[in-house]
Amino acid sequence: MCLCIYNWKGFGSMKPVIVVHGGAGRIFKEREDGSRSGVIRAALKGYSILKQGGSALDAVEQAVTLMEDDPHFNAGCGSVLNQKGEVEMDAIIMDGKNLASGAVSAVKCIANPIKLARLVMEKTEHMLLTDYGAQCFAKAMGVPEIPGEKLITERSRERWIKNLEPDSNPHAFQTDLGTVGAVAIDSEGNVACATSTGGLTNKLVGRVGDTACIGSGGYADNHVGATSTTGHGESIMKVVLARLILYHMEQGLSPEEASDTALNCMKTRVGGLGGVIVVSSSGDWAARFSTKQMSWATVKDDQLYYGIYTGERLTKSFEETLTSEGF
Amino acid sequence: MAAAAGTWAFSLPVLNKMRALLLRDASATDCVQEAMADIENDEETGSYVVGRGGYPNKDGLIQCDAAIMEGHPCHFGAVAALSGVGTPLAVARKVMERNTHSFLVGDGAAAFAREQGFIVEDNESMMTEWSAEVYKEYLEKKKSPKGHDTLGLIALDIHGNITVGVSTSGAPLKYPGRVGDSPLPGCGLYADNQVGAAAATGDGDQIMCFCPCFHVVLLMKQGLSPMDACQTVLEDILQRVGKENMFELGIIAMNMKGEAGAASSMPFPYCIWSQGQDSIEELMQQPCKL
Repeated sequence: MCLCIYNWKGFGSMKPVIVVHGGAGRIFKEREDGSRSGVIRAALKGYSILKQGGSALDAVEQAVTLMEDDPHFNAGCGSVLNQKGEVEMDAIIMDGKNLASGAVSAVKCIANPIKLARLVMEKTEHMLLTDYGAQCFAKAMGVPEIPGEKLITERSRERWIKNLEPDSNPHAFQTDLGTVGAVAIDSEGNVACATSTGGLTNKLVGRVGDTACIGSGGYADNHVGATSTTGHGESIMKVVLARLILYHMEQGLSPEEASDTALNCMKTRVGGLGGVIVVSSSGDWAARFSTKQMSWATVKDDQLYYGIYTGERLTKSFEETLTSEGF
Repeated sequence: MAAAAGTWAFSLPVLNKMRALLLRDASATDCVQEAMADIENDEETGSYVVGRGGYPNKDGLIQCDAAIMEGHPCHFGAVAALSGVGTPLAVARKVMERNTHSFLVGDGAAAFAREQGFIVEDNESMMTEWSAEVYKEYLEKKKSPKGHDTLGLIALDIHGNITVGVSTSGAPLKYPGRVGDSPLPGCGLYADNQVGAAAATGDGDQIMCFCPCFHVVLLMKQGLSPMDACQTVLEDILQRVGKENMFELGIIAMNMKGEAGAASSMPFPYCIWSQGQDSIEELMQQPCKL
């Protein structure tokens, strides 16, 4: 992968920003490095696109694609399995310029649902395709069908088997999930969001969570900003979390205040926990979560910021990280 | 104070039913479900783009979307691309009450319906002569008819609980698996016991990105009346897309006092009732102008 971009080629006057997350579930110690590295690489990829004058839409799509391909995350390859032992995925992408959006839900046997979501947005008059309809559309668009097995990791399979045991409690294991997402603002001041997930482990066939629901899994509006969410999907949907955050920003709250207020509302009203990433139309950003961990990474002004634990905010220069990550 | 509201003129008979149920102390949720089933399962009303006898998709299969939301505290259940069940909203209610998941689609939704005791019929028995005729014409002429009716019902019971439900067979001759605004929380419907509820109807593909029902409820929370909240959201959208690009959108809303309101981009009949009134009021909302 060539990311040899050091020169700023800004076409507009906005300094671009990208924020990515790898999920607000529990990240076990032995998986921390992989998760941290995964979000950093995704952020670097997205930022390199933005630095070349690329669009926020391209940046978020590419960042999420990288994480879908990374088996550390619960998206694409590495997705958790449904009750039948299959991978069913949801994804959404939204363009803040004109509120265009595309989403897929309960889609199987493709490597990158976020790419299919973008095709829904750009090639159809619809905003959400589900189940076998999404499958047909993928085929019609020439998206390669891959055996479902290719998306299954040893880890996902082990957890699925464990949760089939009669005395298991699948909901307790929902703590270790890694929906992925990205938000960005480009040099033209356009914002975009993208979110992708394999959903809940051992979920009922056809269960769709917040990710594919516009306003819940993500939202983007050039007038305000963009957000991508992660956490307990059913709770996120009940408070329409992404749209709620942007509403608070419309009322004058900063991305951080808006995120904390909305997450708190979700916790107190419906008892749900989660995490969000936000970028505002003025280039401010936030990565906040009410769970104990969320892997995230931001690049702005050629500086990388990243963390996993509450209050953690490490930083390195973009150039230094390109080298250390082997780009 | 009990109250009820419904989209379109064809909600009139069910509003009468809702009134009777609410006065007999039915819960808001029971009321919405029972009333919705009358329209969903009636093949005569399929041409209103709801339930049995509704418009099939491009493959000739009827796929329904439905959702229900209770204000307390934002309990939600939805199904999408569900085939073979004449009362999809009742299935959505079961999804809500099972409480583990909120949204089931396609074959998974049908399997769940079966498990819950619903009969899942084959497509032929869901189609009527009318819907078969529509499909035949589509195959011959490759033209999809326009139509975006969704039945939205809001009920406020005498115990002060509010529930909203929506049901549709979706955009006529839609792409298989296409899901519109109806079953998405905040888009086709929203309810919050601290504020009220709203339901939307119209061109779902265009409506979705505005999350209008969530927006209406947020504005009611700020103190706006249901009418003003609906009007503000419509004006906002109209301003954003411009008059020439405006699509079909009708919204109804109710607050916890049982006051109702509506706004629309086209002439939009809707029905309301509140306790103390002897009969259902049929109103015509004129299109919003900037």
